[in-house]
Amino acid sequence: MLTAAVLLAWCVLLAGPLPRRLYRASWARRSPRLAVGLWQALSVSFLVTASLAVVSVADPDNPPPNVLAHPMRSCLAATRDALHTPAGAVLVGGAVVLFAVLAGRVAWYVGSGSISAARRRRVHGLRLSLVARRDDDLGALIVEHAVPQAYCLPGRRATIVLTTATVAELPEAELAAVLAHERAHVRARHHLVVQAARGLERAFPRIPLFRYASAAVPALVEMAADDVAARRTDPRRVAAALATLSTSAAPPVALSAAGVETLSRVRRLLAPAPLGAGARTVALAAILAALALPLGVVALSSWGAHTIGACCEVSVDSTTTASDVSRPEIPARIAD
Amino acid sequence: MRGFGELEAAVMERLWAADEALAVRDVHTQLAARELAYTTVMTVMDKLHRKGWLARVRDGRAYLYRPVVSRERYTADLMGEALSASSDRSATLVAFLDHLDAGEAAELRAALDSMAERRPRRSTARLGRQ
Repeated sequence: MLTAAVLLAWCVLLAGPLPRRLYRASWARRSPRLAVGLWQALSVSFLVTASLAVVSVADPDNPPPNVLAHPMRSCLAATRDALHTPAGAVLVGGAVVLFAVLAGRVAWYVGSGSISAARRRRVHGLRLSLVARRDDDLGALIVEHAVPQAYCLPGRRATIVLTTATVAELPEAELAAVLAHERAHVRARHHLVVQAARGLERAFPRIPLFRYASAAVPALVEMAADDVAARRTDPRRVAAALATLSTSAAPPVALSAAGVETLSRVRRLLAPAPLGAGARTVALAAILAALALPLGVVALSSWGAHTIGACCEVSVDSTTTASDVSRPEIPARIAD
Repeated sequence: MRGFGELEAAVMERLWAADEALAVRDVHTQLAARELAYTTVMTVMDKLHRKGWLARVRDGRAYLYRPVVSRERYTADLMGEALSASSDRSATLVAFLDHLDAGEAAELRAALDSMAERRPRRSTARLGRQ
């Protein structure tokens, strides 16, 4: 039961308080890649911990190490035992249902989101083929349009799309910065990272962790691409490209209040403050800790059970009942 | 949805460039350099009509075709889709820029002006229509 309690406590911490701290942390903008890694680690940790917690609550006498070692056997054994008592049946049945729902939602929302996103991209690409011309020098599709725009269509056959206004308004060096930014998105497969975060948010809309992650990750991913472009060209060139495109005189298309993000990206590029080696190490350690913690708790509980000499080695057979399992084995000599 | 072949795109270009509705014969003449069969052009235009991109009106024995949507409108809708997809929750495209209000624009201009050297803009002559 202690295992279950610790796992549940970690779940609760991961669900709200920790993500809130990370969302407000200023260090994230200074190392967006590490920040994205931490968001992903927290999300995975939550899902793994929740699963292990469900398992350990359903079968408190059979700690997770046993379950992980022999999932089928312990599942069947637990079910068999549970059928002896109505309460047990409800508990185990409920746990199975809950686990299936958790896994199902993740698979469904992340999977279907990715599929529909891929379909939308394909349709958009097909529609583009009517008006876009390939420019081999730039390695991009050019579309005749008065509004400066630059974006990438990620995926297996990734393309970068520029409007004629973009090519006309940007000096050569800034255009190179734009292309470097978009290529960074394609190479790092940022679309998958963003889709996963959004899928998890749709799967579990009431868990703040996934809402925070879904809000933070897209912006961080833009900053990460800015950084790559800045390394390949020059941070001021990237900033200038952003500024030029954003202040173009062409009529703006209605958007959500994302103008602030562009401004903060420009400021960030003009006054870079990357994380020091020490801070980066701490961030990396946090990622590893978040991932390792659920398994660590489980391993610790296994060690604890061994030390106390409780039920770990007791094999559950049809002659024992649930209440028997927790009684330690009495050496034959003393029992005589 | 199949993509637009290179020929379909060429035919649409001709129709968009024209001020009036065109018959198959007109388009075939305009695309003479490609040495296409008349029936090929006719098939393509008929297909575009069936796909909903061209409207047609009977003129004697032949049809007169015109685009349903102007090129500018088509492109604007497409670019709008690209932009809105990036700001809604189920993004598939990543847009590079957001638009700003006057105060933010002023701040950015100041940041730009502070940059030491800026090369002149690339000439638009580079972008020839094909």
